[in-house]
Amino acid sequence: MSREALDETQVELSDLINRVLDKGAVIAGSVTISVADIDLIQLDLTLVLRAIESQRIADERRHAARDPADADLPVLSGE
Amino acid sequence: MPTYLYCLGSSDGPVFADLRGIDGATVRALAARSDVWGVAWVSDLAVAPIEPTLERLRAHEAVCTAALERGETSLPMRFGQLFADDAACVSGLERNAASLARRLARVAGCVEFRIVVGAPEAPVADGSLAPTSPSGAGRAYLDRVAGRARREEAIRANCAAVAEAVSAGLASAHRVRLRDHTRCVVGRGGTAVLAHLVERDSVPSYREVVADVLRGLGDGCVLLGPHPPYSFAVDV
Repeated sequence: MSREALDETQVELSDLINRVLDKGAVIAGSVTISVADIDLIQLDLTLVLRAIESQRIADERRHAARDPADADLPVLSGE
Repeated sequence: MPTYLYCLGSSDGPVFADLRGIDGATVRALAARSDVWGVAWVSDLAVAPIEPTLERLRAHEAVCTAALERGETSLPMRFGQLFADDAACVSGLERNAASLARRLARVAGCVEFRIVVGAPEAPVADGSLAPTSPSGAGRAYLDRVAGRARREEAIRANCAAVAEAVSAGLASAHRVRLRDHTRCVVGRGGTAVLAHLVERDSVPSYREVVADVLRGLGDGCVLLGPHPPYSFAVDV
């Protein structure tokens, strides 16, 4: 199966973010980092990083309301 | 002042002189009070909590890599391991001493290599859940979910094919000592990553074999490393 060609510089940068934020031993702050890394990794394409705390807050707000990606999902009765 | 923890070394000794960490702080060695680890590489941090900027991630990585270059395999910490002070850091490490000892033993004498595999070149068809069903927002939503799942599966299959080719290459090269490997992990950027834990003295052979295999697969794969063993630093 053929694969899309990869830009090595971009891959290295993206991998650095994924590796250092998502991997490694955790002694303290595991909950905060674990919650945040989902969206931090999602941001690696734009190479923008946000504060863990603001990411966590944004994440909580999004889940508390509705995921914007699902905005056109029909609203169910009582929702 | 808060103490930021980068990695643990199994033997004691000073860190490199003038090694700078996050926000330009001097990296220093924090001696252990037990024999589980030799030294913790730390620095002071003026701000807390710490925000993950690209510059700080690079600084974290640079310190862990410097520890690796000292000749022993350190146990890299995930970004953001911050303690109130040195005493709290040592106390936190001692509370996890048994687990840390297992992790240090697991990675001892090894480095990590990562193979990043690109997405399939051919787009994955979105398909249709039921061609005769009426269109609508709910249908569109389910189509998107199904499309994402199919694309992720294609990326995983793509990576599995690379993993199989690399495994076959490594199996025929008896001089390569591979201690462990991860499954293909699909990232959100449309790539998948496969990590290998390679014994240091077989690194040149490993690179040679994997480079050969990847060359035969085109330019959709990249080999990165050697890195500190981030992917193998979890408890087992």
